[in-house]
Amino acid sequence: MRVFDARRETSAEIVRLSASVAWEDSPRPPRTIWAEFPAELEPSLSEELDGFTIVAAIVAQHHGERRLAIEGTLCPRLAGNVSAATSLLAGWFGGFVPGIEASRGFAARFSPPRARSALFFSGGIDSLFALARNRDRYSPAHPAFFRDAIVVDGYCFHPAGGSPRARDYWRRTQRATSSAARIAGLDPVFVRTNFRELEDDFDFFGAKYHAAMLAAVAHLLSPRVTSATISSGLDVPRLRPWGSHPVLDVLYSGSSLSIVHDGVESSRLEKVDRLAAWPAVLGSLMVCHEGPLGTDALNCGQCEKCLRTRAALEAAGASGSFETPGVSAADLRDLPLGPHPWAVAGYWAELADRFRARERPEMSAAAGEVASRAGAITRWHDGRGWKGAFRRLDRRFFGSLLLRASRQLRERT
Amino acid sequence: MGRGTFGPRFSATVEWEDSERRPAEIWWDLDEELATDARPEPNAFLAAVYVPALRHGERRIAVEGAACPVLGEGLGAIASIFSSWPTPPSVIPVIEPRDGWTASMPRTRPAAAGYLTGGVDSLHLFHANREDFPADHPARLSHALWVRGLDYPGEEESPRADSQYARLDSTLSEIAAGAGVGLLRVTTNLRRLDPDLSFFAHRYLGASLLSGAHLFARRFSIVALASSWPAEHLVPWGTHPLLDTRYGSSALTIRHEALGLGRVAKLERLRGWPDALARLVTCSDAPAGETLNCGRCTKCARTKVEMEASGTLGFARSFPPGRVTPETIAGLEFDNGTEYFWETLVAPLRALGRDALASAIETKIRETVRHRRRVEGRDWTGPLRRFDREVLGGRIKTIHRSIFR
Repeated sequence: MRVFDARRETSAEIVRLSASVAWEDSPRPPRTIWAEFPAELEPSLSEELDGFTIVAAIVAQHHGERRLAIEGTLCPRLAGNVSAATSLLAGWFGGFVPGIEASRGFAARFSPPRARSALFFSGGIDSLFALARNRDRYSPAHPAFFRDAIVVDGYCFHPAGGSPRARDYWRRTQRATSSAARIAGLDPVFVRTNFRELEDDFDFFGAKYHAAMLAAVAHLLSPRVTSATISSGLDVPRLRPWGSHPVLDVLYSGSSLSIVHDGVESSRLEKVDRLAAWPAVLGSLMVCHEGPLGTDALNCGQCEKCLRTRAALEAAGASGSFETPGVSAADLRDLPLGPHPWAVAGYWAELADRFRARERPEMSAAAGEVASRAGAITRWHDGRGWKGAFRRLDRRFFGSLLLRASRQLRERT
Repeated sequence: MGRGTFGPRFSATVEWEDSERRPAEIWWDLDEELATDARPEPNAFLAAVYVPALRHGERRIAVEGAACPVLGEGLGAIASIFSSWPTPPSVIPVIEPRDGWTASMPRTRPAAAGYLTGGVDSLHLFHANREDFPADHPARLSHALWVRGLDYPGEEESPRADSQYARLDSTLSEIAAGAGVGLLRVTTNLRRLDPDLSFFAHRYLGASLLSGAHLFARRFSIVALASSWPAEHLVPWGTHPLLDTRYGSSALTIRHEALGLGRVAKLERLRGWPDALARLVTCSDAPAGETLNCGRCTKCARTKVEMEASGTLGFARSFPPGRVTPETIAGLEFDNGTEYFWETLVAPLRALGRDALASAIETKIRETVRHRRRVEGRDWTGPLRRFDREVLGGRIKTIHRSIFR
């Protein structure tokens, strides 16, 4: 894969930084990848290809490109780190590690004279917690004190603004993050990107790519920002190979910019507990990916993630930005589990424990039932136990003949 | 603070509350130059005692002073990580700093030092850093930190340890000079908290090296430690990218470097620094009077094969001369878990036409894996042996022994 021709186009409102990407081993069409920033940030944007290198490297590794050739200079620390990141992904998921070349050699980057820290901000529990803890820890004079909130469009939903749901999501995100940023004294930086165009598969985005996209944006802002924090979505007991991970994310650091992965030691409930003491920002909480909502609400309040968050807030004795605060056991009955039940089983189990400790047996049982349903699907998905072994045997030696027969039998009865 | 055997001493008394272990004084002796800006920072002692406290079931760590919240949260994460590794801790201690939590400011102008042992990983750290960063870059390492005492638990100040320090001193000084950095010595007795070697290697290595850096965070705001296991094959180990950075604070950044490279790749880059390769130190306890490395132990043999595979064996001066033979490999016992490093050597050796050596390594790897599976009860005899042990009270084993004795 070649990455070349870094460009900058400026209009009255936006600055677009872009680069061309051409494939060498995979039969895929060339692309232009870009990120757009508010025009007033033009002096704060990088001329280098470092940011584009990160996203290109992860996609190149995924598609088996043998090399990543950067037509320009590259930060040596970033080159080594990105090589380690692709090596880590190869260790987790298989595949090869592309060699990284820079046509004009490696050149260390220098940070701006004054340190400035930024937080990737979505308005959800994880990034609000990182913000709250940053304010707990540091005085405004400390270099780690967050000054910028970077908010990225074209991240969860691709293409940016490409559907009513994506447009609604971005509108809500801007509203929620602007409000919380104002309360916390942060400068919001709204960025739009098409980085997912290189590979738009959602599983790839989740498992390998999403932190790389954020880190790439931070590198494009490196004349302004010296440290950018990605909030952990997983706590240690739930760590698994994933596109944002405490080992992986820091490997997107360069010689002038550190990428920090924050909050891995705290569970989602612990994060909600901390946020309960900061009700002003909880009023801007936005966790919901459903939509378009068609109302002024930030969250639908009814999807699995909304109900899980409402339950966590109730367990912490807090209320958030939901139109209907609190949650009852009836709300959790037959709750649809969404596309990734394996990712939520642990959260519901933790909630069941919390409600038990709060002597709320009915809520504990309801949360436990959701956990157990999600757990059963997870076990099936992971092929655990004797049934899993049997299914693997069937798949391997009989081409899933027994599974098909069993399904037909059940349909008839 | 006082005067120690090797320089100004920073010490504290550690008393156990839940474990029936004797109180211990832990200390670091610093070179005069390093001690100038140092202070008895509670974070150093907290980072040093946390992992032993975790192992021995202490329910709290009471610190006499203020502690950094970043370190406190990092240690919490380390406890969680250990909980997900083999032999998890039974209790996670609560940290109680007498003077609360304070996030200190880092020094205004960043300054960086790296850890030097003389081994492949640390030589590569200094060489790559010098090549990658100009002298005025904040990431450029200005000094090498040599931590002494960890190989001699309970005997840190003994004549045996002292003679080994003296033996390595000139070599590491020359390496540091070649890298254009000053050598700073840090001697410590931290392993007195728990001298168990397996615990040290699998859990405590990073903390024992890195905790002392809090003492001199006014001098160095960044310390860099070379990775030992590469990204593609991370294993539970005392120095690990998940752990090391979490021993840092709001004033001290810890970097776990070169995670993407294996040892052969590191040696290939070190071709550009032959003087360092000539002084490579890989053997922790070679007998006095011989070369710096014994050349006979498994680590020495592996390093020599790695040098051969990377085309750098010709630079080796700190080993007995000669190449490793298939017969040497046949006589070795591969350390548990190190088969990965040996596996990485097979393809380069075959490319060099050293098929017999590559085959000997493959055979030894198979033997090692087979032996481990048997010891861990994961081969076909495992269920049988468990059944005999649990149901028959070991009768079959007794009969087997009496027949084959």
